[in-house]
Amino acid sequence: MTHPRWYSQPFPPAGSISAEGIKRTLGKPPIPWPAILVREAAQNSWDARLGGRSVEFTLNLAVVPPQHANAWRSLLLEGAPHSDRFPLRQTLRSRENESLMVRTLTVGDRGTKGLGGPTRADVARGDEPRDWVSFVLNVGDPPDTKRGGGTYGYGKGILYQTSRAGTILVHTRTMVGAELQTRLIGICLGESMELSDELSRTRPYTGRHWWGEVESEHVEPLIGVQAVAAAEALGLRPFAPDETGTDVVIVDPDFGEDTDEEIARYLADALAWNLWPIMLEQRGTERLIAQVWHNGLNVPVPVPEKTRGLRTFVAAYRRLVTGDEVSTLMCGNPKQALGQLALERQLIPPYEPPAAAQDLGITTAPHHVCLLRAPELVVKYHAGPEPISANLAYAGVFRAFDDMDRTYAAAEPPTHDDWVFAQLDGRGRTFVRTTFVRIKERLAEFARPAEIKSTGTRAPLGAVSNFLGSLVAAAAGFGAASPIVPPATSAERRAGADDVAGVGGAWTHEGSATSSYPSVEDGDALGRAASPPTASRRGRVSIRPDGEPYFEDSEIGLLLVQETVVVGSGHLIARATAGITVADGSREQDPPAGSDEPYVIGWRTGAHEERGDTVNLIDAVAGQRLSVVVRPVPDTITQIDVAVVRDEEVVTSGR
Amino acid sequence: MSTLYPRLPMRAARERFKDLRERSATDMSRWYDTTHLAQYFAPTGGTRATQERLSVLRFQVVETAKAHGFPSPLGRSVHDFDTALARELHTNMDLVPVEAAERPMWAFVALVLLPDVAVWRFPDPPDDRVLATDITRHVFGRLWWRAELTRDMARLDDPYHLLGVFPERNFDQILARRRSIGGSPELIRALAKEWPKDWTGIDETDALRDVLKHLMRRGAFQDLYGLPEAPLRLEVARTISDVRHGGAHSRRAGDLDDGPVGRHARR
Repeated sequence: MTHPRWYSQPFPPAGSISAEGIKRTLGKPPIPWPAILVREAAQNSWDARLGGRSVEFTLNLAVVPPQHANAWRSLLLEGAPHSDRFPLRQTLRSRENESLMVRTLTVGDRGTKGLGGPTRADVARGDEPRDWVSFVLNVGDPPDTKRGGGTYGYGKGILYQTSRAGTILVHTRTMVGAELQTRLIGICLGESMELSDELSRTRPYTGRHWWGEVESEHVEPLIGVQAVAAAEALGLRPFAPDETGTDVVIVDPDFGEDTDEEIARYLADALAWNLWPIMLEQRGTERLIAQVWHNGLNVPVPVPEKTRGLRTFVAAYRRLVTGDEVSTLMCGNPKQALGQLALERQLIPPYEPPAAAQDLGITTAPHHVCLLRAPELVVKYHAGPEPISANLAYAGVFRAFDDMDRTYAAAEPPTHDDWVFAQLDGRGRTFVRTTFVRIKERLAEFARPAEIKSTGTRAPLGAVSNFLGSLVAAAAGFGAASPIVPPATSAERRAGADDVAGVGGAWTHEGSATSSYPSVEDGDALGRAASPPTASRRGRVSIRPDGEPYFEDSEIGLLLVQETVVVGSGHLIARATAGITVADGSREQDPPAGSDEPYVIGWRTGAHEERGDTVNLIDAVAGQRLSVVVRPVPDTITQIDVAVVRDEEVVTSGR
Repeated sequence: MSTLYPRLPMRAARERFKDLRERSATDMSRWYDTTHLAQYFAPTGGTRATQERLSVLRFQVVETAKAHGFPSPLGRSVHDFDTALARELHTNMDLVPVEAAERPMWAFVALVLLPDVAVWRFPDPPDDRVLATDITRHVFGRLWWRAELTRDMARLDDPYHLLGVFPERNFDQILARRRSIGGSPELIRALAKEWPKDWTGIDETDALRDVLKHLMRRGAFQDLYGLPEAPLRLEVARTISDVRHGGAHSRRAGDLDDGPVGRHARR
């Protein structure tokens, strides 16, 4: 048994591609490296799935622990070329008197078949899988995974790109013949260089290096016991006896300016936003379970079904799967069914998508169509027209038909993040181009509400959009042209509502706030009428709504929150009620059969939360802020009223 | 130029109503008149109806009533009579809506011109049926308005074909919401056009009430008045079908233009 060491590939007489050339095959992708890394790595893992069980995909950002540092230095510098073009030497040598700090990013998968097949590239292909050869040795192999996401395997270039040392360790366990075999190899994609051997003969080298059992002209991996021992010495995650899979350790990953905390968060978000179709729980066992670790701590990966923005896409995807209001996009000439599109609309509060989503083009509420083909990995979020309101998100999912998969795959650049019809000729070009035309047509219909063409239009479009806007942003007011507005302007009525509080010492008076608009009765008439001046006493405590209500996301869905402020000081018992405002501006008295009604979930006073519609503050102080939390009903306008309750009432009503 | 009808001031109307209640149905037939001492007209806005014209109107209405059994009790053909009379009043009276909103005008028609028919239609009438304190309950006024609200000018051959869709009490459901739904002829017509004929197994009045409630919820933020007929009908039809098929909650607001998606999918 020999010691594992590095082997540098010399240029053969017939020439070869240099390391730089390989790295360049990725081109300059429009999305950042970490996102590409997630996409490519997860795609490789997904393609290697065994089936019948879920794929566990982990990204582990860590530091080589001190007890393994010596092993790293002694094992991984053996035979390394003495050149500054082999940066691993600098990485591992590090500074005097300082402990070795080597950061690693390990991309691991389990429930996958591992890198199997022959370990040298000059063995005829046959029926055997050639994952090892494709991943470790060759560059640009055509795909042999059926319905695989990768087409040319350039994607692995990103692994080397990410390492400052251009170095990765590949630790895999796979079925060889009838037995499981562990394999370990180091690979470096550096820069082409010239090196002198012991006899001072200078030769050019391609810049590709392998670490393992060096044979005459290639390198075999460490296998079996030897691999297990080396992996243990290096502190790599061991495989369970019956487990298969692959860990790729990226040595000294380079994330530019970002801190490791930021990048861990980014990777977790990127996993969700790039891989959500294969992460969905509904897939059962055919599913990818992603995890991110940073220095031993779990960084939660957003759950697509529950993540704002993303879940709109999930809803559209579900439609696609169940065939609920799905449209088939057709190319007319030549006649061809291209794929299916499902669209979903959702109301979402204003929010800023995570950086990983922004890098994919989703910078505000989604108005995109997610493009998928057979592997169901996100190719791209294709932007559609901006929705009329910033809160009215819509999301679509287009999935190419399986028989069209090759066409779309061929249109993808090496990073698989777009469909570029210009890359194709003939029919394929027409199909891909038409796909975008059809999507655009469907979105044009979908993205805006019914067009108003009638000559007798009584409400200008502005009024309509105003209605919708107010639905969300809770702006008080209408378009002045709106036909059902009672004569008083919203500003007057708003002022009226405020006046109620201005009375300042009423026995019971109502402040009224509506997520859209207050009704005249509630705002003015009732408020004033219910405040008999005789009952008014100085210093009496009361409460009034303050500002506009706003939406808040929660586990049970959207909530409506109305801030209130205490006026005066003393013992305050206040009750909030929620109702639905109907077309004539009044409050719904009798809901339709079987319909939901909004209700007050509770009150928040500082960090404290109180369930129920009534809040009891023994020592309310003027200016104290409370908020009312209401569960609204979709597609309705919620009206929230806040009133002071007299002690007697509380007793009699048993609250 | 529209026709202006005599108006009976409220005080005179109440007196005449008192008289009417004291009379028996038999001498009612000779109690009508084409003029009243206290009557007045709108100062401008049309041609005043002559006594001859009022006589013709009376004759026409009485003829229609006779066709439905007048003066023997009305019985089962109430709905038919109302529909026929609504059509007739709307066709022949030559009213503009502003005139038709005049309560004293309707009081004159019911108490002076046609008291016998009014009492025949509503025996022992409560005051609002004849005084028009609430036009949506007035024996004649409500019929004119029903015709006005359901008239479908797209059907020149039979503009009043929607009149019979809703029976009285159901139409009252709509008019009870006149500040919103009842105020939009377009919406009422859409509702009438989409209203299914067969409600076997379902209480039609309850269903209508639920449909209206859903539309009231929607109308708070969706401008149902501004929509052109086609999408409005689609919207209304969907609401009806939701209620009818027990889909209690109204569908998402955006469903309006999802229609084509489903149709494509079925192809």
